Amino acid sequence: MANDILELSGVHAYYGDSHVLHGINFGLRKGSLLGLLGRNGAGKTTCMSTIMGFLNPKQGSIVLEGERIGGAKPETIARKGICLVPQGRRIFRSLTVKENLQVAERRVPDTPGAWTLARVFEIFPRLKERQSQFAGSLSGGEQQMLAIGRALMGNPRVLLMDEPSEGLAPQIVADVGRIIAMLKAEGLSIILVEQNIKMTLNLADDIVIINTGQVVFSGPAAQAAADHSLISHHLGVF
Amino acid sequence: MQFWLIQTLNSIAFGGLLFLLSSGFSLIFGLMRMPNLAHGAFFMLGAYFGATFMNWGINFWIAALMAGLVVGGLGIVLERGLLRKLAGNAQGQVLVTLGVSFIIADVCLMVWTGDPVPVPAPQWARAPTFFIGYAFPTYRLVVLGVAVVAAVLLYILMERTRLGAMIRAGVDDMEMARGVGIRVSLLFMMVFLLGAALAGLGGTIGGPIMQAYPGLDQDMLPLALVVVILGGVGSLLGAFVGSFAVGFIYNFGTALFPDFAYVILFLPMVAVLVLMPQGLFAGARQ
Ligand SMILES: Nc1ncnc2c1ncn2[C@@H]1O[C@H](COP(=O)(O)OP(=O)(O)OP(=O)(O)O)[C@@H](O)[C@H]1O
Ligand SMILES: [Mg+2]
Repeated sequence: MANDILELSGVHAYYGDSHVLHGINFGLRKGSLLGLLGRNGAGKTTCMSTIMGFLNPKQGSIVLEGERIGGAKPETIARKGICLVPQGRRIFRSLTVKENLQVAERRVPDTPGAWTLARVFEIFPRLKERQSQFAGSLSGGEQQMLAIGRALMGNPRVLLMDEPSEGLAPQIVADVGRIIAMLKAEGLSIILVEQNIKMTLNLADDIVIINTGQVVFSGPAAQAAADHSLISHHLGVF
Repeated sequence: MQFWLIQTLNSIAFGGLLFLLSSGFSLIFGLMRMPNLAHGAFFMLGAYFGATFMNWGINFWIAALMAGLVVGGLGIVLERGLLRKLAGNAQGQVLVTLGVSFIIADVCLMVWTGDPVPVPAPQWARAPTFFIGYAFPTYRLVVLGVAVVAAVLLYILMERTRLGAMIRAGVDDMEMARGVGIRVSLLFMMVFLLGAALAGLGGTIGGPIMQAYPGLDQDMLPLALVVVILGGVGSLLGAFVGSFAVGFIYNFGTALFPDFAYVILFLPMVAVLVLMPQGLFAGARQ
């Protein structure tokens, strides 16, 4: 659609010979949060990897505001402003906290409210306190904050978050939820992959559910939340 | 006493030389996930080029820098011209570097013949230095000095600049480094330039001690491998400590048990491989 900032159409992706994404279609509306749900192994991370260019789509198109990015190199895609908070955090362990943020910096001159080191430290004071420590020595929650901060340093036009609450204590999951809500309120366009269905339904404007590499639901979050059979059938909960 | 002192100094100087060789080898290995088997040939080329430049009447230090630049340029050609085309095929890349090392060795044989080519030390460093009543070979002290300067500069580059942080990010998690916008192909080229240039520089600096001769490449490459296995792939500190460790083991090994020098050298390597496959310094930072 015209107001979609990111659009996937008919995307197929493979790991070697193994066919994982079977024609994925969905669009992310500008300034909205899209919750991407699905069981373990459904293909959510593969979807993120394909958008990010870690994996080449064998078929289909990925379009960022009218520009085809499918099949481009990850560094090219990142420099266009698609920023990933990866599953498992994947911070650079042997870099300091500050270096982790600096290497990901993408300057956007003359943009009010652009993300800088100072602004990231403002919302994550813990990271500021620990800026000279090696990232590998941080706790799980701090590493997750660093992964989010690192993505923000790229001044995202689209922010991809792959299970940011995974493996964190409930208190920290709540912090992560608040931060995502704040980023959304700032007008960021976000795709949020989560196993935490309740949090996702609360935060999301739209929901896409995938099952074995295919989109089985795509619609407003309110509609998904109301449809218990949909959720129990495809996500196996409730 | 003289024997031990001199052997110690020789070990340290040889360790310094090994650092010039293996720091680049280790960085390339860490970032590109492959041993550059032409690295010993780069070192040998550096020795030959240095000797030739000095033959033309060029000052020792300028000759060493020129050798570094020429070999660094060759490193870029190898990376851009061949390895780049084989991206994702590590086995193919390793075989290509092995092939290139054979080609370089043959070309050296054609150009510089089979006779060893002496590489003169700077005039002022030829007379021994007297200190606390002992005579020390001055040039070995010079080699040590060069290695320390190189180590400090490399440390600053790797640990205190954004470029160094990007290289380390690539060593940590290549895919994620690309995912935050780091242009790894540019990093590959720079690391290859740097590593090859250091090897070339090291070749000239090592020349007065080792001479330039056919087979120098194959004598040096295994030592770089041992250093990296001891110190861990892609770790500057590991390369530094590993170089001096190997310098001592190799030097005292050849001096005391000439028949067993390689056993003494490779035994610790095998032990490390079995007991600490990530190298002695893996995880030192965590
Ligand atoms: N590197 C890989 N090589 C081969 N197959 C893979 C690879 N990564 C994932 N797969 C397979 O692809 C399918 C989709 O995996 P993916 O990681 O995208 O799932 P996911 O929805 O993110 O699951 P989770 O909730 O566990 O993170 C799974 O069947 C998985 O086994
Ligand atoms: Mg996943």
